[in-house]
Amino acid sequence: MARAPEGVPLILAFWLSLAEAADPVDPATGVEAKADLPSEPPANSPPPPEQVDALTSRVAAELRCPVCQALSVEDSRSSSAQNMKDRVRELVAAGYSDEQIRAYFVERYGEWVLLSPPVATNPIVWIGPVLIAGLGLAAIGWTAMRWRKGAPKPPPPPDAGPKDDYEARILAEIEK
Amino acid sequence: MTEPEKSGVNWFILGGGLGGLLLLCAVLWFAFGRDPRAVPSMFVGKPGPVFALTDLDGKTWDLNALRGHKVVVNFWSTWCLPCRQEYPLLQQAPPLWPDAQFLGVIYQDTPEKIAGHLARSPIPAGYPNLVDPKGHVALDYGVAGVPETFFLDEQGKIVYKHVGPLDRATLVQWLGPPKASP
Repeated sequence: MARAPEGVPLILAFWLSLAEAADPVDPATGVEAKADLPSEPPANSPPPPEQVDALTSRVAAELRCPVCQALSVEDSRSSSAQNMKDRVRELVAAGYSDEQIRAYFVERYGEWVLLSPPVATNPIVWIGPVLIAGLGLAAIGWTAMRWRKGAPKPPPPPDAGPKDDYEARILAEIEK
Repeated sequence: MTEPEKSGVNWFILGGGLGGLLLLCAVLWFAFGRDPRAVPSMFVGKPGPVFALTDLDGKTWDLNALRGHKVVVNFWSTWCLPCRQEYPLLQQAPPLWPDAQFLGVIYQDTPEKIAGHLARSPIPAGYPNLVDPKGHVALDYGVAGVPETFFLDEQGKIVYKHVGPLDRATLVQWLGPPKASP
């Protein structure tokens, strides 16, 4: 096992050493490029070739295109998205699970790269709209209940007494 | 003595509404202060993903071998106009910061186009340009587009990611004052 370079975890150095052996040499340039792989071994065995495209599309549909940020990697035609999709296909063909592939891109781009943010780390995104809708419904219900009860009647005006002598004599005759 | 008239204001609702409005203003203030298209780097403060790529002359450049030097990794391509904006500054930078190693990584382009672009440019290439087959290194660095430039310290740790064309002030900020004048 290679000695871990300074600052690089030993477990990552181990898999990097495997990546050095596993990465293909580009036939066009003859370049033996080293690139990072997911930090864990593939969770599954490599799928049959006829299933790779479908599995790739499934994962790509969950990733956000860094350029066309409202589109998934599956839908976007940008070169960045194509790059990412090619990488997804390689990882799928190697047997990495959907979760491992998502974690691979989250490690490099952040949770932002997921079209559906995880509930555990982004609760306000999921709970917020429900909470606000609930508060709105509660306010509507409370207002409707108040309308049903009717507005409180104003208190009767205080008795100011007869305005003049004529009204006083009429009141006296009524009281007889 | 008559009772004072009760205020018609529901302070509970008013307070809640004002609180919600202040919260909304705070969120908008924070959100509008950010570039919505900027993708933050997950590696700032962490070791940069290692790579070993070959330049246009066939020489292999291993990032691990550059420990002890500041490294500037610039992802670019010939079809990117902002890349052409920063090109003169970057190509003339190495003599000004001789202790730093500048590396260009070709992004979504072909070595032939890069070589042709460099040959036609009145400013000669000042540092190696590396071929990144399949864009794996760009993905490893979380590159969302070009140009993007990563500044690594002597221990290989990414200290800053710059999105967009570079300027002299950014180079001075992360590499220090230039050692010599052209």
